[in-house]
Amino acid sequence: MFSKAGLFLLVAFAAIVSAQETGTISGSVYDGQTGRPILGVKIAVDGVANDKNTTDSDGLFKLLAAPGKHALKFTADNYQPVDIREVEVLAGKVTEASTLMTNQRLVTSIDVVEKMDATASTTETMLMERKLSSVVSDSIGHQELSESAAGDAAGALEKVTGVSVVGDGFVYVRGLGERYSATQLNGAVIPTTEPEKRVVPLDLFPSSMIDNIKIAKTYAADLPAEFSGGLVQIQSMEFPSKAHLSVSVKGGFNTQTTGSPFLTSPGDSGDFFGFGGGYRALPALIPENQRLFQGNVAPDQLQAYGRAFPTNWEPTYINKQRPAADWSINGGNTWGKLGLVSALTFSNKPSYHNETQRYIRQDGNTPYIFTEYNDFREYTENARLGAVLNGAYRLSSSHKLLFKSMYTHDTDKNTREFSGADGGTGTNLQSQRLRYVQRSLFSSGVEGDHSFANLLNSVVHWQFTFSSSGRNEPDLREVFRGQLPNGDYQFAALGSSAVRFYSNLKDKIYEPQGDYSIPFFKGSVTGLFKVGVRTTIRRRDFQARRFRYIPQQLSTLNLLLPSNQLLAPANIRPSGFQLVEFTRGTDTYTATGDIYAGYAMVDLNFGSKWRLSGGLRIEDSKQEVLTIDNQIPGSIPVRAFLQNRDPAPAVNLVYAPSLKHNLRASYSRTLSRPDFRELSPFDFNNVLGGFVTVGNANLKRATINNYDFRWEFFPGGNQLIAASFFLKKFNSPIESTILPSNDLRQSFINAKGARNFGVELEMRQDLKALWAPLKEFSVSSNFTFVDSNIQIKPEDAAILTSQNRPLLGQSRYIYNGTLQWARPRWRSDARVMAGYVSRRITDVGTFRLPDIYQEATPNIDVVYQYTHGERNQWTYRVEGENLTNTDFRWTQGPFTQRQYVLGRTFQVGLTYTFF
Amino acid sequence: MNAQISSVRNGASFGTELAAGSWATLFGTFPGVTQTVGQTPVGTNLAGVTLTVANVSAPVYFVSTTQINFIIPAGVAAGLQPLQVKTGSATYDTNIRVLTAAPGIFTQDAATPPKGAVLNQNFSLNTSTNVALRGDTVQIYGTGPGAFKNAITDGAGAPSSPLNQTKSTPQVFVGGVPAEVSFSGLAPNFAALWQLNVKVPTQSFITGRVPVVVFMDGVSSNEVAIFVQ
Repeated sequence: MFSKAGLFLLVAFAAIVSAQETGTISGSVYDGQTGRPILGVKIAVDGVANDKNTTDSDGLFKLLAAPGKHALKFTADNYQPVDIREVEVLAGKVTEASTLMTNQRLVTSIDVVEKMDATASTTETMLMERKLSSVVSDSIGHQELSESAAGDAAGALEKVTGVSVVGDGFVYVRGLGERYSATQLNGAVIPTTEPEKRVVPLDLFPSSMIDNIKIAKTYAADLPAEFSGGLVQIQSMEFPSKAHLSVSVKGGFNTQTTGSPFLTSPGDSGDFFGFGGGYRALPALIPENQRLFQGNVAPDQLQAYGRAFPTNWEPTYINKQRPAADWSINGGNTWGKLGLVSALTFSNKPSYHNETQRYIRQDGNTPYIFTEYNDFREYTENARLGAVLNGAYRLSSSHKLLFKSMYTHDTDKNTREFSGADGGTGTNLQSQRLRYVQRSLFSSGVEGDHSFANLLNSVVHWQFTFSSSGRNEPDLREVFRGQLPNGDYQFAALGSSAVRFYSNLKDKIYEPQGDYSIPFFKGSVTGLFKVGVRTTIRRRDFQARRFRYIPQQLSTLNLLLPSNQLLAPANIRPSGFQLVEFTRGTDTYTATGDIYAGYAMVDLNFGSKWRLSGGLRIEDSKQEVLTIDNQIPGSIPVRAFLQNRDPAPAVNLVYAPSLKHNLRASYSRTLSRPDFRELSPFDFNNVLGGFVTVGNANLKRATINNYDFRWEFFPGGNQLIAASFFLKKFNSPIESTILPSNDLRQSFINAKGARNFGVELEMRQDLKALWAPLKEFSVSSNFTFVDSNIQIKPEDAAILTSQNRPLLGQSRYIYNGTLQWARPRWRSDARVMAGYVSRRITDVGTFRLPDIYQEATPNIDVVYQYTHGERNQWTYRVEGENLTNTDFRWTQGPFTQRQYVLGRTFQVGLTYTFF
Repeated sequence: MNAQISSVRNGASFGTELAAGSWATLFGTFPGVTQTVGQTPVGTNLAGVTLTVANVSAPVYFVSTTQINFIIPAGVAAGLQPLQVKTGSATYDTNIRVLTAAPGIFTQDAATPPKGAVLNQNFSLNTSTNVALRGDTVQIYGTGPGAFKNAITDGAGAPSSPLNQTKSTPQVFVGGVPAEVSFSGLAPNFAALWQLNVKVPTQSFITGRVPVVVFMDGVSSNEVAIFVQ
């Protein structure tokens, strides 16, 4: 006798078996001129029509067919019918058969459309979308993401034309710094985890949770106007056409980390997963709204507060570090009108590097080495957890609801040791620092698509997204020691020695948006009219607290003792070490940034060859930063405020001499606003020992005039040849400057202007076209040349060293090349990926101090993949990253300022696909 | 006792940065030197001790067997420069690196950060019990601002009229807030003493023991504390 659950499982299993006896054909149908999805297209299979076989409001269709070759016929009002022949269906498999349809009056393109094959791969789908886009864009699809060695979005984007990734996942597009890029997740702006930056570090997004990433390089009125280099649009996982469940494990080693001695810091069991913040939390005894120092707090109470902190100043030694680990599981299905997809991914990767760091000063016109730490070691364990849950519910073929949620949590557990000659103190110094930084991002949104056939096929899209990011840095600890004449190191009572630092940032964005679009057909002119609104409401809270143990009577202390003994509770006393809080009045602030935007645009097609889209967006923005010292009763907040109303027009012109060619030209005016901290006229450092940032209340938002030209040739399949030219003219660009002070002081100015131009070349080619024996090989390659020049205001000319220089962070040359080999008979494919980024300025020099350049970094990765099993359910994967093990090197004038290598990484992975 | 120079430091901050026209302190062992304090105008020979920087005679204000305080002549060019000390019995040579500016603020104690040499608006010494008020103009004393608008006679007291102001205007941060500087120049009647008249910012969080840092030509001073209410 079956239980109810058993009966349910039997039926479900039968359903799966039944589904495997047939195959599935799915795809999208787009307007060949506008790229707009077409609702209500009827699809006949082998001449047999079925009312259920129609496209929905996204232009999507899915139908079942017996294994074998089939002919599909697509028909729709106002469009020429399309035939696709020899669509091969395999039992239990999904065959994609997306296509384009052409307006009835545009006869000339019919022949070409009829010859189109079914689109068979995601790469080709991405190319099709790119071809049909009204703006210049580049993209990387799920297929390319999964075949690359990149573990996150930042690594994946390095392969895209004109893109380089700087520092901790910040994207530079067309030589423009992260300031000129913006990021959207599932169509919504997301907050950053960085206190001093506006953009989101893309290393937060595991690549296994991403369906595709597009970079819009030209602006259209329906996009936020605050970008110039590129708008990075991340789409999380899409719904599978059939039930899908797979698990993956990956492990590997780094040549200079795995099996080598390693330093870590004391923690608890949550550390491995990146949730060790609780262990490091500020002790409960410490009062929230009182600044702790002698005179404000009684000595015995101050002693109690000082002893409340744990005695954990020293790193823990590990004889041999473990290998990296990476696990993920993802699955999804559709049940009638409901589709769900979900993924969970986790990785923990240790890394180590040893570098030389130098700080350069200037005497007269000669730079010299002021400080040199030649044994600067960093040990980091990165734990990253990611989760996605996306769902869709189709109310009818014309109405659909979606909800999409993503959570990422990324933690760096970092131990740092260095020693060397310190110019500030004139002695040899030694430092030990323990740091723990947790970053998290949560985004959840609900959206709806509604098509109204009886309202001239107009479409309403609405969306509400809530996003929240956080950066928690609990209990950074650092101790400095100075060298004695006999070579021993003893505790040094420097301003940053025996300190504990806590900071917490929370950033939230509420973003409602909606648009209404209506297509029209009049003679040989077709098009789309679209209006929309978007409100972006951003709220930020930041607070930090700083504590320091200051020795009082040195004769009562043995300063040569290790830190855990020296700073033990017995030595925390009025005559020994006394706790002093030196939290600054500028360490707590709240900020708001609201943008209210409305736009109208039109997308016109004149015959089959010409397409003109243009529109105007108006953005009202208000930024306000309130700095308030909550440890002083009655404290009055200090306010920094910036308000602007900006028109942001865009015109994009496309000339398509044939379906395989596009010639594009566009003009737009976009914006770059200062970040919250950049507006605050105070010095501030979010990281003890890092740059002290001094804001500038007089900063203005910059405006950019963008001019773009591109030629694209799509020979077919996943092949492409493209060439672009771009020119950007900046008015009052915001530039970062560095002041050569002891504490690394950084500020911001509006330069007078700047211009940036460049050329991009891209090619994706099957080599069989060149020589038949190379049929298993294909190459994709891109090259970017950028030239920029910044104009300095006369009042800043005396401060800045270089009167004539490129924009900060701009590399002159960027090259990426991939050679791919695939032999289906061996169930094998492999990729060799090479990249090169030329030198770029990372810090602008002032007061005759030379600019700091990061030198060129070539890189080679290799991936090999093999599948086996009756259903190809097993996939094995071998990866080699950073095979060149190139030096990361920064130079300042004649000196090497920093230099290190990261070692080569080799990983082996296994994926099992259940169904 | 072996005779030697161990280090040459900024006369106010005891940091390593030195500039022409600023006070400097030479630490070492100088056997046979009799501890002596000079006077203004500061002469170039004190108790038989003379000192040259880049072959220019330097005014010497204090000498002992372990320390010599002197003024780096205003005409010394930036760069690595030879320094020579002659006592009655020996000659000592070393090189010092001279910067275009090396701001240092004089201090009252050895706390961290130390109390700065700061006078309140009523010319009384700023202390924890004699505080400045927000909005007051206080006088901060230091050395090493770099070039001045008028010529300087090494070791001589600065004129009270006309006042000799620095060529560049320094940036002063009081509690992290940029403060208005109404005067930056030589203190009248003193040799190489840099005076800054600074308005204490009025933000309410500028209270208690507040850190002060001065920037001159992009070089920062030592951090000192002033007391504000």
